[in-house]
This record gives sequence, C-alpha cells and structure tokens, in this order.
Amino acid sequence: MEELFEFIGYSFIVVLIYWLVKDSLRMWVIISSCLLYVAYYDIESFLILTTSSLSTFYFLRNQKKYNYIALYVILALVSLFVFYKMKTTYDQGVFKAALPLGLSFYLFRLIHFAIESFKSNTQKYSAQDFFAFMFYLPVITIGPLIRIGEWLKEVKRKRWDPQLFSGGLERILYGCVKIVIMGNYLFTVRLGYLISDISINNKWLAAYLECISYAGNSYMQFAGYSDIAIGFSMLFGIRILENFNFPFLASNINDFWKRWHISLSQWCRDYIFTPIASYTRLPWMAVIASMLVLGLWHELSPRYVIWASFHGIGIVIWNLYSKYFKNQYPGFLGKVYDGFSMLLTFNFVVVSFAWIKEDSVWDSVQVFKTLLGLG
Amino acid sequence: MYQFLRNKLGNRIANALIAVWYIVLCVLIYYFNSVPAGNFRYLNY
Repeated sequence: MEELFEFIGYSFIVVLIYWLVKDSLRMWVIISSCLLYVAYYDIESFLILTTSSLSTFYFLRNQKKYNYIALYVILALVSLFVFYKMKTTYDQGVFKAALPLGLSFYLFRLIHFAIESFKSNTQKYSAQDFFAFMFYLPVITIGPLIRIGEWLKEVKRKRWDPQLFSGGLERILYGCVKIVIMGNYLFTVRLGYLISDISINNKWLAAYLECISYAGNSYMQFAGYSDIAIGFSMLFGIRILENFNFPFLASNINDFWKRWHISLSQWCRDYIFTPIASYTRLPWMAVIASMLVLGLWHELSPRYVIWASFHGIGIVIWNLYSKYFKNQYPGFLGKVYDGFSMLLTFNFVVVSFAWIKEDSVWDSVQVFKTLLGLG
Repeated sequence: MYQFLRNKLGNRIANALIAVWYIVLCVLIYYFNSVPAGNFRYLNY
C-alpha cells in the first residue's frame, strides 16, 4: 500500500505546483512530474517510455495517410510489448523479473497513436500535446488507456473548475475506500477467514467463495486505482474516460465487457475486432481474436489464453442466442428474466476467474472439478 | 444523494453530514491501510 499513498502524496504536490504556475507551463509540470516519478520507481521503464515515445513522435510527426513508416513503428511497439511480456512470464530466475512500470498501458497508448497516425485520424498536435499525452501522471501506472483525440479536446478545454476539483477529491477518496476497505479488508481478509472456516466442511462453497473473493478484490482494486487516476485528472482540470461501470450488474457477457476495463475493451474493439470482422466477415473470429489480445495483454501465459477463450466463447454463444431469443416478457416475468440473466452473467464471470487465480492450468482444473462436484 | 440531503435538510446540516461522512471514510482508510492487497499486483501491468 506504500506505493499507493506515495503516489497520492506526490500527485497532490504536483497538483499544487500545477495550479500555482502560469498556464503555459502547466503541461510541462505534468510531463516532468511523470518522468520524475517513473525514473524514481523504475529506471528501465523510464528508458523504454522515453525512447519509445520520442522515436514514435519523431517518425510519425506530420506523416501522410497510410504511410508505411507507421506500420514499422506499430510492429516495433508490438515486438517490444511481446518481448517484455515473455520475459516476465517465463523468467526462471530466483528474483522474478517485474514488468517495467506501466509498460502495458503506455505501449498500448503508443500503438493507438501510431494506428491513428497511419489512418491520419489525429488532429493537429504540438510536441507538448503529444508528450503530455504520453507522460500523463494520473494514468501512467494503471490506466485508463486514454485516446489522443479526446485528450487534445480535453487539454484545450481545461480550466480551473471548483466543482470538477471537489469531484476529483471525492473520486480519490472513494478510490481509496474501494482499494483499502472493500478490496483488501472485506474481499481478501474477512472473506478469506470465512472461506478457511467453511473449507473444512464444504469444499464446493469454499471454492466458489474463493472465486468471488478473487473477482471482487480484482474489481475493487482495479476500479479503485481507476477512480484515483480519474480523480487526479479532474484535479488537473482534465476529464478522462471511465474505466468501470458496475460490471457485476451486467445482464449478459457482452454487456459485461462494455462495463469492465472499458478503455481496454474499446481499444480491442477498435483495433482488433473491427478490422478482423470487416476483413473476414466472421464476427465470431473477431470476437475470439479480440478476447485473446485482451487476455494476453494481462499476461502471455496459457492460463490467460484459456480465460480469454472462455469469455470469447461466452460472447459468441450469447450473440447466437440473442439472435433468436429476446426478452419479450412483459412486467414481472421480464424482470425475473433480467434478474436471472444478471445472475447467470455474474456466475459466469466469477467462475471464469478460476482460470487465472491459480498459478497453473492444472490447479484451475482442480478448482473446476470441485465446482462441478467431481473433486 | 448530496442534492437530496441538501433539499431535505438544508445546506448547513447537509454539508456538515457530508463532511462527517468524508472524515469517517478517511479514518477507516487510515485504520485499514496496513491490510495486505491480496491477489492484486499493483504496478505489475
């Protein structure tokens, strides 16, 4: 938790300096504070972030539409991403290598920028705009994955707004509540005690509650960090996109992915699903490919491949089902149908976490055996 | 929610209640901040 509170303390100092200096210097405050933060925590990440950002900016600045240089840049960024993911996943050393700080987020942001440059979709931007986009302190460690188009609009719009500022403070507070009280205490410690008591008599319930504990904690932590990032961004007078929208209230698995890690889902929709679906005319293939990228973004390992495929197949089945069956029940029956859909989606998602909460696929299979009453 | 409180109780009482709510949350965060983070690996993405 120390890193979190250090991040919060540091960000408050940056916010103070940001509003004290004159307007023309504010973006430079954001850029330098972010670089200082990354360099302090992880010098390797600092080098990757600066080198990849500088070279992307250098190569893609003022490029014409469909310029092949953008393709080389995208290829280089993807290779860098795969290299570091492989390195951390398959490192057999005593001290397991950690992924450079925030690498998955800033490389995906750069890939997005390179694709948009290739399509000439970016508005006019200055070096300061681009570097502030890449070195934006609130989102550097844990997202959301901001987009250059929205970023440029927001930066132009930014101003001192007391309501936005107080809203930001509130988001940070609620973010901390989600992480510390809901995630750490309730879902990990309290539920952990309950599970250890239950596991003696009822293995099935214990396995199910373990999945709930993992899913709940992951959500609270991730949504909490996103709240803190969005909150700090509001303190800078800049609104960024939401990352979570009550995902466990989703009425189907498709809906779930519109509510969970929204920025990454939208990234995969725009850069994996849409091109594959348009090219192949096979939406199911596009769904599976998008989900695989989404899963492998977390970790390049078999367990994430299975988890992603599990969700991908779930979405394909749902899409097939929704073609032929729709909730046409009026009144109470319709509500029962919706409630049942929500419950089914919740259980599907919670149980799917069994694939990633264990260290190996074999252990996950054991959990599934227990859940199915076979073990 | 805050607007509802303000409409029902008036600005002064509603603001005081909201301030107390925030203080309670801060105290709880301070109290529970030493609890380990469980499965979530912060700074690992």
